[in-house]
Amino acid sequence: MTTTRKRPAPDKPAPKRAPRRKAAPEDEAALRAAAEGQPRIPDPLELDAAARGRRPEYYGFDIVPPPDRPPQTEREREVYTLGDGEMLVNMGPQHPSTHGVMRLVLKVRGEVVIDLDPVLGYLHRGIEKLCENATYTTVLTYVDPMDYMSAMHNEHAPALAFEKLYGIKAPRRAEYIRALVVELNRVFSHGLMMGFLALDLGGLTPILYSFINRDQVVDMLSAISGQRMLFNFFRVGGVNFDVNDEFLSRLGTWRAEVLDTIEMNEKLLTENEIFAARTKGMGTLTARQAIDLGVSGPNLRASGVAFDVRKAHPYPPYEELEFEVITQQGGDTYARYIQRIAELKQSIHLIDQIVDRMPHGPVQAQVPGIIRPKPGRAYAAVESPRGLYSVYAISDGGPNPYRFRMRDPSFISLQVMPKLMPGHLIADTMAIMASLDPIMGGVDK
Amino acid sequence: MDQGTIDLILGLGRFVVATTLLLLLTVPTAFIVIQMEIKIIAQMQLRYGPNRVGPRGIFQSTIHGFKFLAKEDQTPDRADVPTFTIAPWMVFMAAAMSMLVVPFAPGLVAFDSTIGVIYFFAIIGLSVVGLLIAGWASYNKYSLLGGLRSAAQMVSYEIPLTLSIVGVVVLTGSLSFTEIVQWQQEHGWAFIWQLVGFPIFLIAAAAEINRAPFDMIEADSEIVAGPFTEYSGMRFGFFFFAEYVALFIMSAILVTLFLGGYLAPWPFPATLDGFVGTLYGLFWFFAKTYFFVFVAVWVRATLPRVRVDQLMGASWKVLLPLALINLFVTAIVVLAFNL
Amino acid sequence: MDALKTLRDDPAFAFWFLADAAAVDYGVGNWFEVVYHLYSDRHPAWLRVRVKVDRSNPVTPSITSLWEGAMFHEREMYDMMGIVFEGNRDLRRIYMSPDYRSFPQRKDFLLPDDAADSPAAGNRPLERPETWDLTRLEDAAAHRDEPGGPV
Repeated sequence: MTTTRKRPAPDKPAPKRAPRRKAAPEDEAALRAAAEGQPRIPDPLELDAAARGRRPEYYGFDIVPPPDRPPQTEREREVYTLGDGEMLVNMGPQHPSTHGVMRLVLKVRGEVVIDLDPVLGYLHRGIEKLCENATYTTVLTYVDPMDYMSAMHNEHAPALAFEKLYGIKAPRRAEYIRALVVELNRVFSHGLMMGFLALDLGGLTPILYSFINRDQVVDMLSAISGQRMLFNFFRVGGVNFDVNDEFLSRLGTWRAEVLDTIEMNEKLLTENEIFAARTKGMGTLTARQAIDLGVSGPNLRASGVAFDVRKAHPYPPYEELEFEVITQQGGDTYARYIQRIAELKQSIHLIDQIVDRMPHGPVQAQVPGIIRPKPGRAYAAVESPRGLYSVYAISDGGPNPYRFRMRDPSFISLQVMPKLMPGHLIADTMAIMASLDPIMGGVDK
Repeated sequence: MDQGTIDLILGLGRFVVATTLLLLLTVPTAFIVIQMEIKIIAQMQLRYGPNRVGPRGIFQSTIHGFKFLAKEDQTPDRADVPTFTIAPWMVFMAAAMSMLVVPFAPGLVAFDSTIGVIYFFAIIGLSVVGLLIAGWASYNKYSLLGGLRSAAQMVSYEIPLTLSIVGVVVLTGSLSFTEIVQWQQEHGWAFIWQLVGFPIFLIAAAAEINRAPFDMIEADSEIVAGPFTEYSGMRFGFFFFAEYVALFIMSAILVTLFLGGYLAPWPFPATLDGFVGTLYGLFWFFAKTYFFVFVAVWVRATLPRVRVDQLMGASWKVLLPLALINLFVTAIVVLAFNL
Repeated sequence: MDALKTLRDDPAFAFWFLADAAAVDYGVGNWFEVVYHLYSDRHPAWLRVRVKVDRSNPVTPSITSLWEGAMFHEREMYDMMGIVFEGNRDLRRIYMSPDYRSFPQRKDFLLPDDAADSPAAGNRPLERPETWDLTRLEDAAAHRDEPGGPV
């Protein structure tokens, strides 16, 4: 493809901005002339207009989802080719229980799932690209809405990575406060997972009970950070605020009640026969498979692999805290649920330890307003409620990260679905998916 | 006019008035049951529930109902329009018409048929046809799955449901609901005689009217809303009403067959005479019926949903043999003691 | 690829967990890099393996035969950077729609704000010169040295 148009060289200072969406008419004419006779990429709007000529297919019944193009890969052909008595059910992106905007294309025979294809990207915001255009401090605000159930973890990994890049270390008190808020975040994330799993199984109440705990934690985190969901609490070299009285009083109330609220849910679910029949033996993930597929976090540990970043590659202050890596043997939906509850209780135990051992001192190291680390690379991983969440940052010496890469655990965990679902009923796909606990904000970045 | 014609006209008039009254009764019944569901589940989930429409939100379900009237009634592009239109009516009429044979109080029954039990199960079984038609006519995969689920589930559960009642019928020797209640006045409430039949009926009835934990048909987390997916406006309203009316009626039948209908429980006199007696019977009838509505709501707030194959398995492998054994034992007892 | 296999299977290394696979674009005229991070119980640190990929012919072997879980990583890298992984049997777009033709995380992909500087004034994102088509790789390679060509 050749073109007569010139791009601004990337290293030159940006020329004066032309007003957007208002190209001068001669420019437009020149553009059209330049485009004449060249193989051009069709504009989506034109495609749409062309499509309007014919009667749109109704999406309900007989349409095969990507209809107007040949399959691009072997795997795609495999999924979208229908055998005898099979049909495709397009589940999502608007469906009551796809946890946001995931779309699953299920190939079913009757109600038995034969194969499925997760179609992602409905929430893609290009956060990595945005972060490459933001300064190191503002990156920490962009990562919050990624995995909105664990915003604190999202900030933790970049903060650690940038500190490595910049060559500073957060004060010890800041490390402890970080661990405290991160574990609080884990508590409400795991607690909500119980509720979502029950909701996908048709139990209406546990989600409401989960929200009791969640509201208390969120109020607490809002008291310390000033925000309810997207906290923007971490800074390169520390945290934004020290703990305050309101936080401490809320922490005390919460700590007194949290085990009771969890038990309310456990009574409704753990020993319930219908719940057990719906979850035990469903979607069994073996340890071998789990490692192969890159599953991490509670899902991996529920399959019996004792891999926890907090132990395997400890970041401060976890090497000073006492805890064991919990594992389950089942690897099924029930094991993943039990694993979440066990970790939830472990987190509460960790919070007790952190509060006991909280050192005194500053919460923020001396850092300039605009950070310009030396050229280099840094990789930092934390254990988020969904698994290994890591950040790989490259600095070129400028105020923005040259490359900012996030590895989101729920994105990788979704790969197991085509392995787990076949052979189960449509009803079970929802339960298995809920037990993997994907958050689409994180999956789609 | 001779006496026969006058009787016929009077009978017809009485029938028309009773039917109209019952049809009118379905609407407040649905409102009350929906309101109960909303508020009771809210209490169980430790939240307020709707509390803005009227004092303590008591008109919330009424507003829900009128909202359906105000909404646009859409038909999918490629739906089969006549069947798509008729399906909600069938489901609603099946629920409403089965109310005809229920004795609300001594003498207060719209149509005191000698084969009331058969009539009831014939009519309530029609709703499955409506749901199946709705699932097929909507031209939507979820609707289709839901429709087929409803067919499979209702056919499976009709059998243990009916068999558990045959026990009562054998015991009382009558197919008329009124006579069954009168028998219970003499011999004590039927659930004492039918300790196996009563729970079978309870479970099968919940499955028959798609109540939790057997609400497979509209399992919102799996197949969106089943046969109702493509319905909107008042057509959806009919489905919605039918569902709650059916819940009320199933409770009413349960009470009539097993718990003495309009009879008062032990420390009170079973019936009273005159107009006061009618009110007295109505009071106990509604008290017992709404207690079972409450139980259904309670179950819904507590239990997760079972899966399709588990549901079928429970019907064919557990409930059906139990119901047969129950029938067998009842028949032997009736013969042996010449009841 | 062989190095990764050794790293995974040799008991002296035993890097059994693929933590991350990321692609880095070093800009027009330079190269791509595919960066793998591995974890092993026996070694205290994350192991970083960097693979250099030619920017004009971005093809590199897939590691999905070693870790099946690299599938989504590779699909994402293909989607965002346009790196083709040979041997990956499901290499298609994962975030962007299938008919999308551009690779947004390349350094020469301008964000809409910056695209206002481009001759198309940001009006037609898909018509921008730096937007190019994977199916015309050879074409692109042939015109690499022309001014304004697609690299």
